[in-house]
Amino acid sequence: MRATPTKSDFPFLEWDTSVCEKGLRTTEMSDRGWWFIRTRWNAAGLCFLGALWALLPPLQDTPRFVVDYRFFLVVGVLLALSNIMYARMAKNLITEQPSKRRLCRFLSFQVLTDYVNLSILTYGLGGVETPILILFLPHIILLTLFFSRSYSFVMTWVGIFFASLPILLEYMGWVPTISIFDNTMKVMGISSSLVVTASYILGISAAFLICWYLVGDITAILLMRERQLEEAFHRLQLLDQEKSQITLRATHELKAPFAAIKSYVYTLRDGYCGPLPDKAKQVVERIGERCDLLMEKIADIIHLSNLRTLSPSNVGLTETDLMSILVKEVEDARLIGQPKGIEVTFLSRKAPCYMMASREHLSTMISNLLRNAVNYSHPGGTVDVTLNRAADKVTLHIVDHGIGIPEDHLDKIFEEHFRSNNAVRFNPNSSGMGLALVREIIRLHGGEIHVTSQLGAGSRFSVTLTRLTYQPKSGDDHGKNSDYR
Amino acid sequence: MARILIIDDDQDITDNLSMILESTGHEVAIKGDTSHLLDEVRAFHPDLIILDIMMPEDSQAGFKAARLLNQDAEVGRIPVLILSAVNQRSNLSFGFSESDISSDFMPVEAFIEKPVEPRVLIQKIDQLLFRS
Repeated sequence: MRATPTKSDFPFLEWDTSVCEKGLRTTEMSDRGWWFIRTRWNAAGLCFLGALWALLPPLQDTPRFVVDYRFFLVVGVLLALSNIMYARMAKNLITEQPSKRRLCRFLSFQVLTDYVNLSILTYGLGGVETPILILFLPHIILLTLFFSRSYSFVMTWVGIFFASLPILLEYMGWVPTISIFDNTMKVMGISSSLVVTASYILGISAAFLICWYLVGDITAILLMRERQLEEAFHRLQLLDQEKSQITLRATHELKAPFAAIKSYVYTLRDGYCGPLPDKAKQVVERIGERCDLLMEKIADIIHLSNLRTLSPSNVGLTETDLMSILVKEVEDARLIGQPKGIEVTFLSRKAPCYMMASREHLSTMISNLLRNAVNYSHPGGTVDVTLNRAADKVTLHIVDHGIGIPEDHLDKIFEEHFRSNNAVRFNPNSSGMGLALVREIIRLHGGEIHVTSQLGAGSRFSVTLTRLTYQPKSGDDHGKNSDYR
Repeated sequence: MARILIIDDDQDITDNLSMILESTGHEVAIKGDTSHLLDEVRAFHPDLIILDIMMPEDSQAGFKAARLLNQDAEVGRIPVLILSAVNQRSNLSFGFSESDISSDFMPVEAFIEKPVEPRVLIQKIDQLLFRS
């Protein structure tokens, strides 16, 4: 078995081209290097087709071209053979994780090979008689993408040399003049005219240099912008991490003292410091309750400020089953409603309903809406939950028959800390942050929320979200134990 | 009764925990940070370690300490209970969930959020001690 080629198999790669590097990363150079190889396969294929075409008899009443099929065949074979070698080298280079210099040398040799092949083809197709010279231009463009300004400039001149070579050689009479046109036109062959030859060479040189200048400039600017964007993105990521850490620490710092107070409350209440008189026990219980409320409020404020710094692109949406969240939250709401005899009904089909969402945030949103519905229902009341599915949308309705919202307050209930007077009287302990959180979470999920209400009769909150129209193969498994029936 | 090491920088929490645990007959030692952890664990020979996550030296000091303990052949078998004010809903942050318990990321036996009711804590400690 042939061993994998090594650096020493290709000694010409040792040539020092430190000047050629443009600033691309090794992976970028390596990836883009495959463009050459892929394109060369196509070029070789086209050459073989060209050889076939040259062998075919001309159609009647069509202009007669005289093309030697051997030119196509030779170039096709040369391209294919060189490409086999280059593909092998490219694979080898990828595994070796080569230096940029080595990649530059590799790409330079590919360009030179193509120049030689194009030069042969140009000669075989009558020099300037066909637009074959245009095929040099893509190489000039690619040079500017790969190499430094100065190196691509030199390589452009090498291209001009190879493009002009057949024309010059014909003019000097060192090679026989080839024309693909019939004899009448061949008599008028342009290769014998100094003015025409010189103007063609100048024209080609000008076209190549303009191409090098413009594309080189554009790619340099684009590369600079790309790097600036990457840098900015990296800075944003760092800031985001820093923000998360600060939020976490702030949450911890605010929560820790309450946790300590609450722990002491439990210790006192449960008699670990000796028995408490009933009245003292009640006071301790109330300290604990107020502590919980304050803790909840602080958590909500931090949560809301954190949500406001997020955008749909950085909220971390994954394929999430809404139904599994809904089933769990409805169960929790039933437990909350039980002491007041409030029934929470959920009659919709409990099949999975996938969407791109943040499981944690969706849970918070549904939990807040359900808690509100239960908290503002009269004892013995009902809360009805339904989920309506459309083609690509899903609408969650949460309907209570409780105290309702005054009409002039409907547009304010999603503002933080806002609470209507009847709500404050009915449930004085709420933080007034729940619906603000709901609105932010729906914004992050690109959804909509509508509310209708009648004072004294109840409220209906309808949340519309976009659902996935397919069943994900690996959706989240948090709801696998849910009751799907 | 068992020997329990509490590692937490909050003195109110450690005092409170000692009060509860000592009243149930456990012997308690307190450590305010995670420095020289292995040496102190080896010296005290605890049957259980109660560990906080966020400490002044590092916001993930508890996780790091748990991993350090877990890698040690001698003390790696001691059950670790994380007791922290940080939870999943205190958001985004560490990105852990209950399924991470006993994983390489969080090689501990149990996780309880502060504040914890004394009876819940005692129940959990009894379970862990019984299991070990």
